[in-house]
Amino acid sequence: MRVLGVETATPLASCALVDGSGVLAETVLRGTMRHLEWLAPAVDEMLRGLGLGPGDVEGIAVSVGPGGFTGLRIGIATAAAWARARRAPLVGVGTLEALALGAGPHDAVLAALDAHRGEVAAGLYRIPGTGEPEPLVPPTVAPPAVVTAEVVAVVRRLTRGTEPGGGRVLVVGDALSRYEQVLLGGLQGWGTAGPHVHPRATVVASLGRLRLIGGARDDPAVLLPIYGRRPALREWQETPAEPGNG
Amino acid sequence: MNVLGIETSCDETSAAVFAAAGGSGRLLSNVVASQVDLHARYGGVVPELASRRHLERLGPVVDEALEGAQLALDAIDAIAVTCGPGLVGALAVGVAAAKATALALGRPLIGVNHLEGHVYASLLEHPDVPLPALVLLVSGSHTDLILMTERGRYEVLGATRDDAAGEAFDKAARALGLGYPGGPAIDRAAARGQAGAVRLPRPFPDERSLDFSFSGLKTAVLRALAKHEREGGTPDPAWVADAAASFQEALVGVLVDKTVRAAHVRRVRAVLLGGGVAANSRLRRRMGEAAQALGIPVYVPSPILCTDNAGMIAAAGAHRLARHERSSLRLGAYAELDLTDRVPETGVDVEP
Ligand SMILES: [Zn+2]
Repeated sequence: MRVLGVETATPLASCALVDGSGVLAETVLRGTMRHLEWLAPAVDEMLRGLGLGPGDVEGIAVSVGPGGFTGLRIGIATAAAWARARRAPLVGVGTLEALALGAGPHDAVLAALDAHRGEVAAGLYRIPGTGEPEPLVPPTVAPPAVVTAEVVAVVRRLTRGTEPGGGRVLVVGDALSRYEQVLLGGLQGWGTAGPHVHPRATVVASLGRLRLIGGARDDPAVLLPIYGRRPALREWQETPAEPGNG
Repeated sequence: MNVLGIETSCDETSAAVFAAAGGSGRLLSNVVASQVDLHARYGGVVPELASRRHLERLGPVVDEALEGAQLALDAIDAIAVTCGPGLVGALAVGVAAAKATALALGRPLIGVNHLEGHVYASLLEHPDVPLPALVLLVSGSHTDLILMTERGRYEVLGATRDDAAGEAFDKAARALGLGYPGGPAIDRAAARGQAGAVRLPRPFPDERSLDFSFSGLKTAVLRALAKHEREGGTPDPAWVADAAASFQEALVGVLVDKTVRAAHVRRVRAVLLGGGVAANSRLRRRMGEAAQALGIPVYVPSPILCTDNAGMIAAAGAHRLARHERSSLRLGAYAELDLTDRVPETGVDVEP
């Protein structure tokens, strides 16, 4: 099954095409172009570059957050409209599980994105050698100290109260750029800093493909973002004075 | 040619199918899902809430429009979408969906200026409007006086310098405790009141300018309310009705006067009303009387075509498509877009 993956939750958007043989192509948003202007032409050019057309996409996987509100809506509106137009199966993939899966097999990966306003969007996952990420702490948008306290409690329980240490929790994601000290401090010796990466459409497409093959389907009429926070006046939100957001 | 229209620029999620034939055509469906209830308790449109609701509703609304037209999506020949002006986050939902549909089905895409859509709302029901015509576009987002010399050629003669007409209605209604949306609330209350019973200034009557300004009128309503209470009165229903009637008369008066002045100077052959405030009964009556005195007709679209709707977008898009205009897949969402601007990424020479 040839699956189109769409990842627009962070400023570094990407789209990718995968099949049973692996990644066929990936395009990453470069420069200052905005997600809306970029996404459709990028998908079009990627397909053309492979000598394929829209009818050759057999399934669609889209990153559903948490992440930037406008970016998520652009990705989901695009994926859902495509799925309806071509009657192609659609599945949503959590942005943080995709980010964690990108780190490779590990007992505990803390995927953390900078959510601005002093908060991070974070989730803790066990990544097995093959198959689905296992959520240990579900996606949360909160101050870093709140996230790390929850992670420490879960890890203590899982390791049955052994002493902290060993850096067993691998922290990945762009939240490290601003909060590396806070996150590692809060993890009390459990944490190791990994790469400051963003989630990638290749991983969204691969995980989505597994789910689609397993029979998972999301109805394009009801697939919505995981916003992770209520629509208060926040930096990720458009206001009349400041139209648009990342 | 069947054109699917999509409109998400503010607080209405809408989709429509327009069957274009030659220079005209007809609407096969026009579905509008209003968000008025969602925003009512905030007294105005909350952009983030509007964007969320557009994403929830757009798919089902498109389905309903296709059902109404008795067409499958692959029987659609082109997609027209509002790309501005409006709330960027709200517009982005419609533009993203329109672009994906166009790309997935291999159909042409046309980005439409929302204001041109309002002009086509009048032309939909009255295709033979004599030109040049003057368009008074009044809603919660717009107050524009537009000269249309021919289809697709416009000159903006006047616009508001602060609040839009519908916004002024909302603010006055809130001050008078009449609820949201303010237009219909003031219209109802004013029917029981005496215009002129509460003294209010005529808003921005400057004879030389065709621009509008309503923020002073809103302040005057607040001041009149304070004075009334200071003098021992209560804002009882009778006083509120008088204030509503006085406010409405002052606002409508300046809209009509400037339209008449422009109509006279530019020798237009018709006046078109558009936008949500065109539903105001006092505006319709006074504009009708004024135009009759000038000997020209006034056209007012039916209510669904006065609100923001995708039918007018599909009709405007069909007109552009017939002139071989296309938008590229790079089409974006534009908060500010003048009627006289070329729509970005759009034209006869644009690579799809
Ligand atoms: Zn409008």
